[in-house]
Amino acid sequence: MVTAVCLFIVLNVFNIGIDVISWDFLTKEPNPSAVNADSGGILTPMIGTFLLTIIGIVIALPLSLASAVYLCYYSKDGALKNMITTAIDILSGVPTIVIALFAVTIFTQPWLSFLSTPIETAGGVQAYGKSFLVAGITMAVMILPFVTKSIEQSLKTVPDEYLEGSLSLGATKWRTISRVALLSARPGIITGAILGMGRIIGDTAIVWLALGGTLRMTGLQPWWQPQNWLSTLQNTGSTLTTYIFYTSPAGEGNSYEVAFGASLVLIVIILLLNAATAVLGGLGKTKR
Amino acid sequence: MGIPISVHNVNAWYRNKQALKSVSLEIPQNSIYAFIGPSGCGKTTLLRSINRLNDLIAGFRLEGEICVGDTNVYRENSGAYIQGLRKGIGMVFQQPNPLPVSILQNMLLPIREHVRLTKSEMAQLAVEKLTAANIYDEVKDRLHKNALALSGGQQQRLCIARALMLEPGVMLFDEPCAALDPISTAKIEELLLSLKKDHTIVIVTHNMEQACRISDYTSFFYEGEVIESGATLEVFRQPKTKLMERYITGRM
Repeated sequence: MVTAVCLFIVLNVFNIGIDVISWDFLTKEPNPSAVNADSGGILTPMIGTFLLTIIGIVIALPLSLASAVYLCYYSKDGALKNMITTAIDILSGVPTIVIALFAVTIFTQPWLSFLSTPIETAGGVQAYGKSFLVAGITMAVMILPFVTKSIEQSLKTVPDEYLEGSLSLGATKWRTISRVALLSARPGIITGAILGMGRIIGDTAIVWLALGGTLRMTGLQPWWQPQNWLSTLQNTGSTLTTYIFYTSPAGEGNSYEVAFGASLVLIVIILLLNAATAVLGGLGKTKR
Repeated sequence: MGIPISVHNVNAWYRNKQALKSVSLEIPQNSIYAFIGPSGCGKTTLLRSINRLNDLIAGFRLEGEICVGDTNVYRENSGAYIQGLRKGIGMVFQQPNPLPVSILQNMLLPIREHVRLTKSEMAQLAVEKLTAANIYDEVKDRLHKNALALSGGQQQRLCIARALMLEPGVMLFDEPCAALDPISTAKIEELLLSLKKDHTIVIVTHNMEQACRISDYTSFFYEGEVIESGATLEVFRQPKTKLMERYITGRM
């Protein structure tokens, strides 16, 4: 039954989406036009997805690693540890739209305007609060509990013999953790990071609220030139998920075959990521 | 050279449970000293107290004196002191524990951080110690291959070679052959006998034939106490206590 539903969805997406997939579709920027032939492709949404994923994981991974190492090897059982694990559990249960709402509230503070753009309002200067940087940071917060937990799990499976072996050779505790524990937990850490990236790629709510509702890159043009990269990051754009939303009948595009084309690309990316997880996780297991 | 160990009136607890009761024994340098006794008798606790590995266990407490050479190992509690101590005491565990990296990387692990040597000197030292552990000939063509591809017995000899890298005066063995087949066991026993000339060796074993074959001295532990100690052949031939006699004849 599950397989049937899965197949039905994937085949349908494939069937409708494959017609719009072309070189132009993959390499052209979206273009507002009443004429379908001029409406461009999904280049910037794909770049947007990529940017958010990179920013999110680059921020989340070190924080998650640090938290997991702390929880596993440094914290003592007690109130503090309970507080941290409870906070992680609660954060992992908060819907992403709520996290996005918080992001909008926080990142519109004037002193954070360097992350997006300062704007004049009746009440004085405010930050616009929507940009790749803002959305990336928010994504990091969203996946933080998930990645922390999966890293903690993989650290727990590191055999005691490894740790004791290292300590008995006169290694310091920090050395033992950084060299031995992280080394043998590496497949699990990579898997956790990739699954976290998958969640960023699939998320829509945060993109919608924290990245803004523009299909194109809105920084200095042309956005792909290195001197404009910072400006691109400080401004709005779209990802595959919001592109799908805007081109679907629910959005303003009402061209569902284009939405299906983008969906197909999105599904392929996620499947590739899953395959990468399986391969990297599997490698770790056979090595053990 | 091997370093003698002297254990004087040691009591140890895991939280409220007493694991060692006024244990005293003398381990002469360059000898093989076997700890035997039923499971849970405290022999492993004493072994792991010598290099303070029990410190990792929450609620572990020890009173008394364990001296390795002139050093009382429980004199100080600073991390640096304990690390220095462990560098002079090699340890091999029941389960071979090479890391999932190459054989050479495993060998360099102990010396990378505190010995200043050039790359080729380090590699040379690794070869020397692998040879001392009777494994070099079997692995010389695959030093850069993953150590987990070796057989259990080879992994254990690699671990012994790794422990030798720091040239410790004392080597501790916690049931080193319990996970190995008879042929690998024989190779390890042979190796232990050859290591005796440069190291003092303490071995915990459940295998009484093994204790008989290789050890010079034996202590029999029972419920946290040392019941009987002495030259191995004497204590096995003429046990002074009923308990020891029953244990070695398998009627416990």
